Amino acid sequence: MQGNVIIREYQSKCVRCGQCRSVCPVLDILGKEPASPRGKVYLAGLIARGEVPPGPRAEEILSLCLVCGACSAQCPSGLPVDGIITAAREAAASYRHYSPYRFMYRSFFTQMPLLGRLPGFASLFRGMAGGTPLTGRPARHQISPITLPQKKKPLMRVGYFLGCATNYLLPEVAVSVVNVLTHLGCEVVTPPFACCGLPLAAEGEAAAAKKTLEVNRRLYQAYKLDALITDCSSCSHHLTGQGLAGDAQPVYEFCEFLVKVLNPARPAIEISQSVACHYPCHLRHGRKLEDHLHQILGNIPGLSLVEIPGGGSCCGGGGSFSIKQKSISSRILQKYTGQILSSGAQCAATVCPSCIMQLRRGLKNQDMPVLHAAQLLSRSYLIGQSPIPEFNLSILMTI
Amino acid sequence: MKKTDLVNSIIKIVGRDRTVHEETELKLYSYDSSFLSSRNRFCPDVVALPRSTAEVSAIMKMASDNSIPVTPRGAGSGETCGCLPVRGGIVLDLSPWNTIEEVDAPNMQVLARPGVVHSRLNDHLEQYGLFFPPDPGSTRMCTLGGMVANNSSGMRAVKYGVTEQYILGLEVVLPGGEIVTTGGTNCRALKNVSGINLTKLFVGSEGTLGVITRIRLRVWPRPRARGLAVACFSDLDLAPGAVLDVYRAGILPSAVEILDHSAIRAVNLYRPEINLPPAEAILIFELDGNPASIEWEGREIASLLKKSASGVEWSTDPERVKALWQGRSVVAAAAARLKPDGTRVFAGEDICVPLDRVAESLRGIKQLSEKHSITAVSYGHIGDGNIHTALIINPDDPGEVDRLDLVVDGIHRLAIELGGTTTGEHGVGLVRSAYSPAEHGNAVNVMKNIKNALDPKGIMNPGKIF
Repeated sequence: MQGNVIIREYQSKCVRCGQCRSVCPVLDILGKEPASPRGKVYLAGLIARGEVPPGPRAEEILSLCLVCGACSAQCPSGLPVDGIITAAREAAASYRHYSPYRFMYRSFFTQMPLLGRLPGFASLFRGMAGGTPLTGRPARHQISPITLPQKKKPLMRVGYFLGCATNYLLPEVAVSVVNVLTHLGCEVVTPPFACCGLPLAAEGEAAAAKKTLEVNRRLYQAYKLDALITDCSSCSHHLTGQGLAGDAQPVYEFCEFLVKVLNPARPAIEISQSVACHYPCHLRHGRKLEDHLHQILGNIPGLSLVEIPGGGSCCGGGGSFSIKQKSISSRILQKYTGQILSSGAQCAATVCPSCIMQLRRGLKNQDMPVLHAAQLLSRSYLIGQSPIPEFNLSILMTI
Repeated sequence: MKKTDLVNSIIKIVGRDRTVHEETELKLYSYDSSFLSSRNRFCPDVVALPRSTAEVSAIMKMASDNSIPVTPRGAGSGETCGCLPVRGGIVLDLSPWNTIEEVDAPNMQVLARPGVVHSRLNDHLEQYGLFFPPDPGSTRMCTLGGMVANNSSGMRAVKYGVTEQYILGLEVVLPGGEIVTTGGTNCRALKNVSGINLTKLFVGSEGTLGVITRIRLRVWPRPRARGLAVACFSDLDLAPGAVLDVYRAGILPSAVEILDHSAIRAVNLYRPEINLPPAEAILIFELDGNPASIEWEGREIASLLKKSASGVEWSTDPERVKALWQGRSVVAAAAARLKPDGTRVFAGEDICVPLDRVAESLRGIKQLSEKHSITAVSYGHIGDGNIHTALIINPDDPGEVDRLDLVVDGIHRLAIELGGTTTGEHGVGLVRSAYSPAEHGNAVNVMKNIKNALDPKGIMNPGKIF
């Protein structure tokens, strides 16, 4: 099993210093050692050595992880702590040959394009993600597979990796991404990519994750793209780590692409709002790119960025974590939204659909919209629209 | 008492949410950072996560009535098995009890619960222009309770000393459940010589005399500037003399660190871009205080060091200071690079020797490691003679583990022989208890008498120190 190889390779290098305790959002809530990254890495070793049998108890402990990567980012021994934990999830689940839950999970993410054709699938997806008031068609039906800029000759041919969450939950983000990129002179191609594989890898479904990667790799090679971008920090982190666009080339996060490649002119339309910037964990700890989001938003005229007290933290979403560990997820969220509200911002912005969903859940009773950076940027460029004298951000929530 | 009854008693006191009793979870309370803890399984029967003195008192009373061992635990970042229940029983996980109850800025003191993490306290104190000076390398995870119990310090002990100097008073739950407050817990005087100094008795007692539940500590004005001088030496013997020269010039740096040849090699393998010069030793002097005095002292140190060092650099620029610190800050992680597939283990890692015998100690450690073919990297706080040795082994090779034991024993005996101690700041716990008679002679009996007087049933963290 690949998982045991990863565990054996790394686990013995953990000196149990406990530095990972200082950054773990789950430990912060639960307090007990089994919830700490160190505890789960130690458990991984016990399972690999046969001292703890695979089983529901081990699975339960290992499920106390958001796979946010904060622990890996600052491990003094440089261990991929969250990678060890996800490998251990696979090992812990090996006690049963057939698990309806794992079968469903695997099928859901590997067969998404096929399932997506079924009527009612989008609603099912939304329901699973905690319910959302959004209606309308998935993004893939709203944007064209190829969109050309108004200028005659495009600057470059950009592939848009449209992730599952944006496609089914936040199609308006996809529309904004395509609008901004074409406005800035790119030809935007949206191939029918499969799931990025992160939800599978995080659940210890390494083999299934590898399969989706192969599907995506074939597509990427077939389309002959100059660059591949995504609006989702998690997709960007995972796919860059897997080398989808080649070893040296990242799968650009939206803001990263703008800053590093396009370096666009400042948008013209003022958005007079104070905005709290939420840096998704996979952007901060995985790609280490928070500066780009800050720079892109800071460039919007009239927009003032406000600091979240405590420097920002995890929203507690973590994909399926918010479903499987709802109570812990909500407690992390509650603590964090309290910090966001105390910042005095009128709006929160980020670059991760999963974080957007989670933060909207936490702020639904407050008068604070949560938006993707592409939505704000699209507005500030006012693509294809005449200026609106009094711009109300909450409009964006209902598009 | 049956295990189920014990678990039920704990649940009754702290509630189900703050009780850990499932077998797999209990195994995750069987370690700290010591190598010994990875070779043994010291599992508790139950773990309680108390959040009030009354809860701790009730647990201690119940444990005492039933003669059940109790072991307090902070973040479990220690290196001595100090927080491990070597005889089973109850572990008190005090790490989530992390309230800073009061910052009394005008009186320069803080009242806190034992689970407060060191760096969190200092982050919080920044707004008051204050700080708690002892600075263990584990600042981001270690708890104040653990610091007090082990009388911790760190590289800035050269100037600021150790934890005990900052503890004004403690609230302690004795093994029978009785709650006592020592020293200045209930007053706000910064000096207090009233009565026998019970505070100092509990500081460094490693959880063997009672459970520390509240800490009143004094804090100091935060220095406004820092500077760093780095010097390379082609001869190891020149390094301790250079430190002495600086002291003689009337300068007390906040830290004086040393990397020996092995550490320099490890850092360069780990991060080639740091590119430390291939010297026999590198000394790092840190100065803190006011900008003007730092400037003067830094220049003075640089000119003093030029006499014996092969290269000297001095800076107050924060970016440059950070870059210069890099070599020292990555050495612990870098150590394992000297041996492919090796793992750094914490054993024999904390001796402290007289300043004028540091070079001799480093050579002795090198000889021991070569004799037994164990890779060793030495670095540490030369300013107070505290040497941290990182031993790198393959833990799955039993022969190597046996040879490691010989090296560790040799390092500890070397320290005592040279007029030093087996532990400068990490503590004794289980891993160094065998050396207590050699270090303390019949004073060990006095320690035992004190322990018996406070803990007649021997339930408080048994099996440690002696």
